[in-house]
Amino acid sequence: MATDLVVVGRGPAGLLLSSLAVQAGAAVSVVADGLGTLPLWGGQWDFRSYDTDGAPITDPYAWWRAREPHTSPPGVTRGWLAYWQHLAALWTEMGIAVNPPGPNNQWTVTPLGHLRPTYLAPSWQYTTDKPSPVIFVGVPGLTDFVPTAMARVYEWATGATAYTMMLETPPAWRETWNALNWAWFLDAPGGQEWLMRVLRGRSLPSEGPLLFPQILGVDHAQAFIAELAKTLSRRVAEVPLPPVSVGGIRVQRRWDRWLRHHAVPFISGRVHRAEPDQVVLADGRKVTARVVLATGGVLGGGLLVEADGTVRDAVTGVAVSFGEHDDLATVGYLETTGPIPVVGRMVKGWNPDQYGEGGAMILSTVHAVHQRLMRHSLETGTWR
Amino acid sequence: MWSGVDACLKCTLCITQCPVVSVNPDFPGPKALGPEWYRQKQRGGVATLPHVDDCTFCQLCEAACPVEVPIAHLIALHKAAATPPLRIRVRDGILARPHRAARWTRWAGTSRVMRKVGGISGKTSLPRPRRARWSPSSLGQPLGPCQGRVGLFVDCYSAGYDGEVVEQASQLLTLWGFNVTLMPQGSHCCGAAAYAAGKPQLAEREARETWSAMERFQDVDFLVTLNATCDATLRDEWPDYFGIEPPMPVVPFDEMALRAPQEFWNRLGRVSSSAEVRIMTHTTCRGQVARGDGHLGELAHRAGFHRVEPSDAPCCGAAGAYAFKIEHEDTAQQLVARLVEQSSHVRPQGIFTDSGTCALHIEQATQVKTRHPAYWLYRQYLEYQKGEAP
Ligand SMILES: Cc1cc2nc3c(=O)[nH]c(=O)nc-3n(C[C@H](O)[C@H](O)[C@H](O)COP(=O)(O)OP(=O)(O)OC[C@H]3O[C@@H](n4cnc5c(N)ncnc54)[C@H](O)[C@@H]3O)c2cc1C
Ligand code: SF4
Ligand code: SF4
Repeated sequence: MATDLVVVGRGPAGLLLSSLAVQAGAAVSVVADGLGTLPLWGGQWDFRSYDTDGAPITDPYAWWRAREPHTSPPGVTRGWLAYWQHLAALWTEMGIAVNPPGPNNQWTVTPLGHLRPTYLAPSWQYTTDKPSPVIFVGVPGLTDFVPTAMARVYEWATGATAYTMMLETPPAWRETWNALNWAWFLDAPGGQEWLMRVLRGRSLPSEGPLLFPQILGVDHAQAFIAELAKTLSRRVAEVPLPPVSVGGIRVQRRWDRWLRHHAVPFISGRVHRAEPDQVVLADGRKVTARVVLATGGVLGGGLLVEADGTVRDAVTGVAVSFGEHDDLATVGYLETTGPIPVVGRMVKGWNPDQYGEGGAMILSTVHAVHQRLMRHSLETGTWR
Repeated sequence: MWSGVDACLKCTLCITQCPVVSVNPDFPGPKALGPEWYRQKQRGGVATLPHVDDCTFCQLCEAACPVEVPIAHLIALHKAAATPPLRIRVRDGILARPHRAARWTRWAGTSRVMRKVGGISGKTSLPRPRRARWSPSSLGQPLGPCQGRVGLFVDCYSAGYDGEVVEQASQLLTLWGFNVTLMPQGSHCCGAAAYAAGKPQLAEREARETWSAMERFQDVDFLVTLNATCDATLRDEWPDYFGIEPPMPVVPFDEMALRAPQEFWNRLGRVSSSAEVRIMTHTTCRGQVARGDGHLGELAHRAGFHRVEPSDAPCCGAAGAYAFKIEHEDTAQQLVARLVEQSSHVRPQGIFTDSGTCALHIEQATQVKTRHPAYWLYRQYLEYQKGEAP
């Protein structure tokens, strides 16, 4: 197959880079031996949620601007708004409704009832700029979402009232059901009719949106949530749960579909050797084109930590931790200036787990590499 | 590969991709049936879980797993430990030997009562033989110099029911410059059906017999497969689970087609009548796992169909003999319902798919002609020839 770019990895970083390249007219092939981590996320993209002392940040643009000289990739902060707007437009095109990116972080609710900042989230997820009274609606058997416990925490944290409701079990219910079983049940007409019927029979508190655990369907969730909201004359939204995370599954399914409908082949196989212009798979197949690694680092990904502490790229075999930058967090961007660009994973000075900046890290590395590829393609006249 | 047998990190990615989980509320899912069951068994708990048999062996769970847990293969062991009723065991014994079953080609005429007694679905069509109907004269002179000899793997389904596609594929390969040998001769099976039914030992026996039958074909450069499941079995299960290397490299027909001489594509490019014809492509689950998705779309495009939609269904539910079994008929129908819904929007005039049993199931459900890519390429080439005729 004639390919201009081969992206190794189909996690969020690989999918985003592939989409940008497709939009720029490139013929892209995605090669991966696993699914990537998207189905483990709720689906939200964080920009910068906390400062170094752990306090929530309201205006992430200002936060990044103040640190402009130190961010890597350098100068990327100037592009932030355009990057977020691109992601929002791309998602909208894929059928993932999303509120337009604003100047500030939004609040979202965790399954424990706490508030936490986030920047961009699909509109099925509950976000707000000001905490207000809410109604937590629970279903039996989901230990990750206990409305009464959540309400106590929420009221303590916000001072706003939290009402609670418990639904009964539908006839199809099984004790073994997790969030995904619920979501598949509510994706089909039978499940949707059941929930509609149950809610119509309940009297709702006079104020507040109905907040469900993230189980309101998979492929048809958006339409169903809109229908619920219309019927009940009330905002209806969801709180993302720990994995199995239905929001991320929805995003992944729509994203894969969008790429497949843009004629992007997904080649399955483990890359054993990567060169700048070719990858070789474990079974000997070769894909020849400019290579970008989006091989992650969290689960079975592209980084191997060896017994002596050396960090090696599992695909290229290159030791990626070296010299003065001798720590795991330095590897990502440094490598993007090397012969094979790397996107996603960890970038020097970033710490998504602590600061809530994982989405921004993916955006900035992907756009930096994309711009480099675009320059290269203009210079060489490749890509149509 | 058994090296990942105890590697499960409980990440749940496998569950997110399992097509059966999406339609069957009783199905415990890949993590519970595979690695968790296995860990329990190692600790001495040997109980089998209900519904283990509902797994289609599509292997989409394995394709999602970040640490190469052989999830579906563990589930096959789990199936082997379950003991279904005798009549189901008899039926499964027959269906796990499809090369034998396919010798009796009149299954489609079996009455409803007999089907019920035998545990065979009344909702799924049984295959009727489709024999080659033209003289195997040819598509004309090869388009280039001889490229070597290929063996065309005549799988049990094609042997029993689809002589047509074997003929079409072999004429196309001849046109592209290959000498074609049909192999293996006699009645053989790669072992896929037996493995899927939870009979790994029978699968290995069948594979070894087939290997011996193929070994004597000395001068064959490649083995070309017409069915994604056989292809994946020969290329993955044989070396990884049975320790047998296929006697020659195995290449699926559609990858061979993508390497056809440019002149072939130039000629098909002249068939202008197809540009507006809507086509859907469905890469079977085993094909997605073993090689990936997207080849069929590329083929359809090159063959002159410019309105091509890839299927949104990860698995059509046919899964070899799965849809023929009475206890799976509802799951099989629910899985194919996605394709039915999509095809009712797209309104394709044809569907490309790389497996005979999937084609049968999809065609029955969508009422759209569903065939192997060899059929569609052959048909397009005949159109080209018609256009050139004086
Ligand atoms: C449980 C969980 C929840 C999270 N929630 C959020 C969240 O809500 N918001 C957020 O912003 N971030 C979240 N993250 C962080 C996020 O997952 C990481 O930032 C992300 O994993 C990075 O994505 P990636 O695309 O770089 O890599 P990954 O998603 O890890 O994808 C790696 C890809 O590369 C492939 N690959 C690796 N090696 C090879 C090879 N040799 N050959 C072929 N293919 C290969 C893999 O199969 C896979 O497809 C979460 C992470 C986890 C684990
Ligand atoms: S093989 Fe397919 S049906 Fe079986 S558990 Fe895995 S994904 Fe589900
Ligand atoms: S995907 Fe693999 S590691 Fe994750 S839960 Fe399933 S078997 Fe375990």
